[in-house]
Amino acid sequence: MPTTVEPMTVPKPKIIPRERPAAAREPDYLVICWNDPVNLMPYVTHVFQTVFGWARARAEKHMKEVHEQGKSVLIRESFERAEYFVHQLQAYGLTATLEKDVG
Amino acid sequence: MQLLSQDSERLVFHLERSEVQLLRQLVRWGLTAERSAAALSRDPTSLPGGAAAEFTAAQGRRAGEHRAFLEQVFAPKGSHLQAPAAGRKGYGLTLTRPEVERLLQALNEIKLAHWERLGCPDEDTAEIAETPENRVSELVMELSNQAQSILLRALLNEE
Repeated sequence: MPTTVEPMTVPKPKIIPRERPAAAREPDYLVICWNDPVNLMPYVTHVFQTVFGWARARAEKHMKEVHEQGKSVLIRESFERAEYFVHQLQAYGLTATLEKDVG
Repeated sequence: MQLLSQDSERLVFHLERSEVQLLRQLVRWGLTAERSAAALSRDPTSLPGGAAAEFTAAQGRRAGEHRAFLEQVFAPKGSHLQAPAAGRKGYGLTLTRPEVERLLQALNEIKLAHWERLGCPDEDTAEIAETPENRVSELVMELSNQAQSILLRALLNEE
């Protein structure tokens, strides 16, 4: 009786997604933009509009906070989202960080 | 550098030959300094493990992309500079809107690098020593500011 040759099957790779702790998904990180003497004010406004999709008035409000008060809290988000936004802001050269909201 | 036209996808500028030469010099000077890495947080202890290192690595990649784009955008044989519009001398420069954003970022990158080279001066800083290197850094900052202002006015339709 003829035998059939079973085709070789390559096992699918086991993809282990990188997991962040559940705490990293809680919205308790603040994205803060800090003042600096280099970035142009129209530039900062433009960056806020571009990164967050804000209307100009809101972007200008936060820009003025940065300029007059030394910093502005832009958003409150999970760690992952906050990290993403800090990365975007820093790509434009703004002095931005994320800080745990202890308030 | 003058905005000629724009639509939802791209902006077209006209540049005089001297402006292109100046921008190429700006890029040559600009790329002589590198920024230091910026922190993800002022409180690194609040970050999940490995986050700071990953962030720094991503910054390095991004800085390299900015520099590569700057080298390319005004290059003689690049794809962004073209023959000028009819009746003009100099060059046409066509940028998609994402490319305008990249150029804004790249110009800021070299501006910040040279600001750091100058010692991060602010309005309280005493006069900066007059050395050829410092003069170059000041020029890079000023020319980058001017180029950024032109791009921003174009994006805001204020030309």
